[in-house]
Amino acid sequence: MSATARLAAESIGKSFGSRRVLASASLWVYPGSITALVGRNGEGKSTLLKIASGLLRPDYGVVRFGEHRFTHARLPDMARRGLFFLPEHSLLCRSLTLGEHLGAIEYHFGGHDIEKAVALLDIGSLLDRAPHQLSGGERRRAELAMAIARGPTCLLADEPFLGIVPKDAEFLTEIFKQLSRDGCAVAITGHEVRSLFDTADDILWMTAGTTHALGTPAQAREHDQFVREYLGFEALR
Amino acid sequence: MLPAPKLTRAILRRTAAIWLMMKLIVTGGAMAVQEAGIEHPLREALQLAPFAALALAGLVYGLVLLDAGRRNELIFLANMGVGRIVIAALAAGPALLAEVILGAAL
Repeated sequence: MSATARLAAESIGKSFGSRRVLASASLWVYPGSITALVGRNGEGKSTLLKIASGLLRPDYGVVRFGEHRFTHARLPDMARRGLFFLPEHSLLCRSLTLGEHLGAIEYHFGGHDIEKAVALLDIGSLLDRAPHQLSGGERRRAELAMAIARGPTCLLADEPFLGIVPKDAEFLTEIFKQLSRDGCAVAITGHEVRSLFDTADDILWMTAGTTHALGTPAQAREHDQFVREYLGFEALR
Repeated sequence: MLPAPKLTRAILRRTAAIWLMMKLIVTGGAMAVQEAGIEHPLREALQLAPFAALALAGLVYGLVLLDAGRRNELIFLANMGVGRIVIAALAAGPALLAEVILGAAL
């Protein structure tokens, strides 16, 4: 399954003290495709995403990004190769305005897509603002603008729909799809089933420290155990 | 690669402020220990010994790292491909240099 994945985190195990969070979890992210990682709180979705992005060290398992295999991946190394990680909490530095963030991206990676990102995310009027002057939805738009300006080959977004209004969620969905159409491999986590299922091409279900590839959202809706234990029958109506 | 110029300048400014603050605290502590005539490793801080300089630079690095994490800069810089070694160089490097210059001047 991992033959053509741009990013693969395979057979990952991780414990925090005596609590085992991941036993044998895997994540595959394919070019031009959006993978949604779903599961209950505390099942290890964010932990797996952090390990896949090189922010956290696994106890065992391997991360592969493109042609490179890492037993200890680090985000700076992977970022230089095209990965972009959107954390659950803000990515924006308190000491920079939004315009200065985009300037930093231009400094590190060139500014080919900055104007496109500003126009697409409609953040032209926010460029002089500091992060604390932005609403939750504006902050998410700003962070996605940074991702687009970076032009990543792989984007990992932890709970991107958390705390934003439905209208902004629809907008973010369209942006993720745009990135995917441009060939980016995208993985997102969250609990907002409607937004995630509207966005994703593939669903990965995380439970009991491991992951189950459920296929497309339509196939996931027909998975008995997934419906019974996570989705609930209301979601099928 | 160094962070973007504005962030580099911000980190260096904070490094300078933290080094100065720590230097004043450590020197003050060392003088107090000496005044009291107590035998304590802190007295070494007054003599600008290599170990004291390294320990202070390490402390400055740790505090700069904590401060950068608090400001969300570490994850942003990691996304820009800037690792902790660069941040260590920006924090511990100037602190060590300042110790060497101070040592030579005294």
